[in-house]
Amino acid sequence: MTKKLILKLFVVVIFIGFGSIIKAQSCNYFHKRYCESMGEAEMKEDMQSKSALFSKGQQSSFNLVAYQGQDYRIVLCSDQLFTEPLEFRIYEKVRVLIEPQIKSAELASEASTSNESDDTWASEGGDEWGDSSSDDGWGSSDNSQTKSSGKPKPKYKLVKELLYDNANDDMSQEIEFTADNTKSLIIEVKVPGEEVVKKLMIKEVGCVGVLVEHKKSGNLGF
Amino acid sequence: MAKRILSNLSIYFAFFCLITACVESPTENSDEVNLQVDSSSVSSSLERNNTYYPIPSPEEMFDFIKSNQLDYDQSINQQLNIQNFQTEKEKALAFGIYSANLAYAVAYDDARMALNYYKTIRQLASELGIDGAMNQEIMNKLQKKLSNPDSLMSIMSASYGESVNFLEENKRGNIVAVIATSAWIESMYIVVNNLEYDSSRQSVFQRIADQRLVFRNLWGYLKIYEEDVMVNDLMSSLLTTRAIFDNFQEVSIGSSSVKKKGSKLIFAGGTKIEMSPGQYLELKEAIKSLRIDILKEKI
Repeated sequence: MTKKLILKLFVVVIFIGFGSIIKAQSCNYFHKRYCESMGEAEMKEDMQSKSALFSKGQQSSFNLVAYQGQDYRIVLCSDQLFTEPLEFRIYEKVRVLIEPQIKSAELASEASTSNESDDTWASEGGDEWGDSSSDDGWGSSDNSQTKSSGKPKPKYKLVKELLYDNANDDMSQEIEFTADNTKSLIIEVKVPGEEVVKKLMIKEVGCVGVLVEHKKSGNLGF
Repeated sequence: MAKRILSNLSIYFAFFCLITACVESPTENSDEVNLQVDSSSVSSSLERNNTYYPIPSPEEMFDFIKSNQLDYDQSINQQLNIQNFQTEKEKALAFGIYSANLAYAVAYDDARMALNYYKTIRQLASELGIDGAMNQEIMNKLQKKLSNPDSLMSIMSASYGESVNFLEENKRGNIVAVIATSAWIESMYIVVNNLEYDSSRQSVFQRIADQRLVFRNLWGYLKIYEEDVMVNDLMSSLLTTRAIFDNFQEVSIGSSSVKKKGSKLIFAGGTKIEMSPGQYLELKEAIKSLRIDILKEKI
């Protein structure tokens, strides 16, 4: 009897353990399985595609390099429990000179045109490498003064400029684009709904996939 | 009797757990399952306002250089002696390097080398505990598809992606950071090693200059794991390369604008990265010495 009980408990442990593993990895390849394009052009999956677990109200950013001469397609998909379409924006990361040329007043004017108002990303206080703007932290020379001239080296920060917002495109979950020149993009995805601050219900957690595809642009040359 | 009921209930409970965990789309069951979970307990894959830095895999670079008629350089091929890579960091660095070499061999249809690299990578994967992503099935597929470079490439991409996913899901993003960095270094090395600056190959050199943006994302990924000693060491050795990229000019080519062409959007304007011949030479030397630093005399 005891042996039977131990055996059954062993089975229980195995089942629970196995179940947890599956749960932890359940978003793996979600984009491959569920993000289906409506577009006709045949494209190849880009390794910058990503799937992740989201809760209602959660927003995440995906950094993507889009090369000149390539067509890209981004397709979003989500668990059915997220009944509303995902919110989706594309920004371009642009390096802006902040010192010594641009004084603080000019910078303020620059920021107002760069969608920085609700920008937690650009206001982290770091330079484009994520270092503190006052102290490089590496002791490297690239952010300090130039040895030969004694003049301070220019300092830059990254701002993001809005290129696309699906709120202005019938909440489309798919977009095709070409970049005239290579661009560093941020794909911002948000699950609509009120963000749950502490405890999450299982029914409020689900997978979101961002499928990125590319092909050589057909309109190069003559 | 009570014991029997208890044990049966345990099995039903286990079965229930398994079913709820397996459900890909929890919608149908979500009304029945209304358990509360602490957000911190699922933080491995659910982190609020996450920023992801997916790194392009090496084959995208080689696809590009092949289409720009850069010749295959057989001298890049390594003497494979992975016994020399002992620590976890060394194995991860080697994994990235061989992944890049594999992608290179596949892009240029060198099936024999591709298979050799794959065998080595598989062994390294086993030593890094990610052999689930590199299994015999893939090896068999590889052997069957040796004469079809496109299929080989897609198998390679899937395999590389699977390794990265596996590591990230198992909270070993620090290893991914090392693999992605060494794969990027090796890809760059393969491209620049025998390539002299030539203004007539504008698109090739533009692609190299554009690596500044890839490197910035790579750096962002490394920053996430900078507390990790091996990642921190790697970041320190990348500082020279970072300083070189930092000096590349980003010139404005007009204000950012979006045009529509059929169903496709065209993102125009913004900035373009410029690299002078001198900066190319600096970058080339930095990449070479980075690679020497990583490999030391291990190959």
